[in-house]
Amino acid sequence: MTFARIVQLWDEFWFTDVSPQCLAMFRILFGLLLLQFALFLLPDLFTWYGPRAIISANSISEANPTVVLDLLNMAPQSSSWLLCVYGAFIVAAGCLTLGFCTRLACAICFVMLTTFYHHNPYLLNSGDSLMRLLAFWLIFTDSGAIWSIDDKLARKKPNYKPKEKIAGWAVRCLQLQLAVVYYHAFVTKSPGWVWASGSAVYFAARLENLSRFPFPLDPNIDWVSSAWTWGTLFIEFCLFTLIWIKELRYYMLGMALCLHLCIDWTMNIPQFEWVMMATLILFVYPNDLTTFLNWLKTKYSIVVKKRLPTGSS
Amino acid sequence: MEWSDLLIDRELWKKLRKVIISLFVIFNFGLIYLCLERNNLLAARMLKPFWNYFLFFGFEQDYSVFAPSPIQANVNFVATITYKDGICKLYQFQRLDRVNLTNKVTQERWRKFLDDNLGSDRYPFLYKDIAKFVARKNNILKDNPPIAVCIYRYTGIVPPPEAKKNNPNVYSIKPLIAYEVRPEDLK
Repeated sequence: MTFARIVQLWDEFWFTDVSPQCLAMFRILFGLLLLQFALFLLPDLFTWYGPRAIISANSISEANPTVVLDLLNMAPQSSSWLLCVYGAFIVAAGCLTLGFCTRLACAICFVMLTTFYHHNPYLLNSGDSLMRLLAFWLIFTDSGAIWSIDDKLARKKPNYKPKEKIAGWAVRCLQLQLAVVYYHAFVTKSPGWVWASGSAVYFAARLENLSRFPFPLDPNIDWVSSAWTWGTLFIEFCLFTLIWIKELRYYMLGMALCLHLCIDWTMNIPQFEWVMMATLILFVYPNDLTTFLNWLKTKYSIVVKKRLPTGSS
Repeated sequence: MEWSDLLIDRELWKKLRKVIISLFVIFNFGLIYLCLERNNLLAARMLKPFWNYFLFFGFEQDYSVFAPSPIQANVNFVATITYKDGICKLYQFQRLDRVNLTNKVTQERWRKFLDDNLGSDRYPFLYKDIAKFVARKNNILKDNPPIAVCIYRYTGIVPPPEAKKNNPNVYSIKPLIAYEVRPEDLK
């Protein structure tokens, strides 16, 4: 391996242009998840962030004296200012989903997510951290290149050229960010004795506030708990290592999907699993996504034709 | 017009693009790596000069869910509110094991707030604010305001797998704060 070869590999990995399909699909799903984030926040918005919130802004600034990005602290605490910030977040998330002023919308979403995090860091989980970081990396992508209002508007211009390829480096950052999640989950779990002994899922399944539906196989049985526990570790290990190997990628994505669906079924960590599943789409090869969408389109058109009454065009 | 046109001349950007982007990526992912390894003293020291930048943009992250081991206890919180006339009321904080699926999803932040943070003993400075919140929320009787709030944590240790599987959790109770409510707390 020579230095020139390393530079070449680096260049290929980061600076090869990519098709925009997967990124556009991710943008839409991510935008919808941001809207859902806002919806879930709504019932307790004033309890968490209002002028008479459960934790006062003073207590939070005393505990975290560093200057941080927090729009809610940039104006006197009031319900109307909170509603403005919250409203701007919803509008930005909607614009991101539809791909209208996409980059600006994404930047606003990032600022708002960071604001909500800093204003009360005691109620947000790993899924929220991931959303914040994904929003940050998404700013640098051309996620509105297709399937967006931006693209529709650009088509009206005389010198319009469809974007078949976009810069790939920021898409790589999004992929790497997801790999970081699996890496950290694996390396922090692996020294734990319950993970080594195979009883971690047994304990997790007994947390009453976290449980949702019963496990498909009962983790009270020793071998079942061990299988769940070690299976989780194995999948998490694969998802920051083997996922980069082309031939193995879809097997890894399949395993990841199974893992997240199982966790989502059994445990109440709503957005984390959904964000992870949405981000997995960035690892799909664009040609395969196009083939899948075309297949879906054909199937859908067949269904529509069948439903139309005889004689109608 | 590209977004980079706002910052740098297009020709210059073409020349420097790969270098700038590479440095940006290495810098940020390097800091993310150091942040994830911040229990390591060397990593913490290397991160220190950039910590303010990192915090400002909310880049700190931690994905150690259930690591190094899941919490082995069920916790829930109650508060007692004593009113001016001496009557006492019990206030139950949100319990996600007692709500339907829709509320379970929308109230997940309460689980994070109560179980993971309030239940961890890491943030005792939160207790006073929560006591004030409970007092405000229960200030519903005319001319009879709350004068004291006590918050208690119930902890049920999950029996180890070697024990009989269906053992009921054994609960212990710990008072977290006894707070004397002042009139300004109720405003």
